[in-house]
Amino acid sequence: MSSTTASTMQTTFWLGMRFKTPADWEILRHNIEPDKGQLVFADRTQGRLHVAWAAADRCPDVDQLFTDRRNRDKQHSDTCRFQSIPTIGQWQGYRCQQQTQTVTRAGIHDPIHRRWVELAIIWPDKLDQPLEQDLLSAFEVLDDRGGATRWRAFGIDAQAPPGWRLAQAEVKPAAATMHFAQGNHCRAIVRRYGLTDAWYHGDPQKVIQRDVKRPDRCIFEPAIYRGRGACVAHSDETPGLWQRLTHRGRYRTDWVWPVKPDGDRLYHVTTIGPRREMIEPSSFLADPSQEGCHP
Amino acid sequence: MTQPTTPALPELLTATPVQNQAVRCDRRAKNELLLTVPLRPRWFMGPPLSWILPLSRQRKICLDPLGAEVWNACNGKNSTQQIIDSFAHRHALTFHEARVSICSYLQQLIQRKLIVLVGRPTQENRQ
Repeated sequence: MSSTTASTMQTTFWLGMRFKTPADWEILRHNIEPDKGQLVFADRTQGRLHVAWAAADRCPDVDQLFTDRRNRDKQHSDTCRFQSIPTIGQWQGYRCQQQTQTVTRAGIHDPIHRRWVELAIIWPDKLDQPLEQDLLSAFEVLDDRGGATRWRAFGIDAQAPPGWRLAQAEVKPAAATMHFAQGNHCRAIVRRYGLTDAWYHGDPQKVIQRDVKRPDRCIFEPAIYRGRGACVAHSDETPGLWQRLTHRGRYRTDWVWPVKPDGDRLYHVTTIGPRREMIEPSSFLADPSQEGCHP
Repeated sequence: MTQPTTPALPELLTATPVQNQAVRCDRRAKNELLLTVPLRPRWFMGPPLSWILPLSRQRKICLDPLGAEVWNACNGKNSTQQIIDSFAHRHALTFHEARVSICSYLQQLIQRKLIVLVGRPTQENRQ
């Protein structure tokens, strides 16, 4: 184990991949497309771990691919020196020592999701070999075919049940949202709010009232969750009589609960859809309390 | 006169926000702060225009409790990074969540001439 001990590492689940990174590295850029995308973890001042993936049915010609990468690195810096990385799992790659920083480039083929995953780890001061080894060895591809896909990032530990997909992940300061969708009719939204001392006055019902279209059609069930005031609400968002008569009504369930006694975070899960296809909000929570997903 | 350049993130984090000493600060209810900024007298502010129009010689800005917290932290001793750290710790935010909020707020305070950022000259600026 590196100088960054296991207790200060955080686990991120993203698109069927699992990463373990230092707790102070945060995601600053993300994509949710399975075919092509990237995830950038940054420390306080710069990007430290760049994860990029692209659809690939078969493992690409790795030697050729890394030769191209080496040539590209040489174009940026003539004085860079190359070194192979030690054997860690299926990873292949090299280290590029430049004047100001060292970059570890490593790639792996993910046969489950049929994609090529490539990491670039930036070492601005000096190479931390144990941490490099931890980052590579902790990477795991999860076999979620036919099962729930777990998404754990931005202080949310959610899962998309079979048949559901993550349609959007939106991150603002003190407000992270994951939108899940199934077909055109069913939606689920998992939200994490912060800075609650500025706007949340201990009444979860008001949070739901602000969000629903017709608060007068809401049925609230006050609840206690781990000793704190929580709220469950059921509402009818059917736009008109015709939709109701043709069984195309839209129904909604909301859960709101604060985390920690002082409620410094508030979670809000909403499911919207036809009554027959409604899923309980709990189906979207990998960690029911959400207490373990914040560093 | 050279134009000030936009600081890079490491420079911004080490810079120290300092309050404008001409600003008067009054505490209001619910932990709000009322800042009164004197305006530089302009030629058109005098008579006869001032006989017709109610031209104010000062501007008042009210800060909510979170804004007041940031304003009080800009005491010339704390760097931007220290302000972000204490804000993040107090409100259970991550560093970058707090950084985005604090930096945009500091930018607004700078635009309203309530604070200035004092930073160390970088190698490029020295040249």
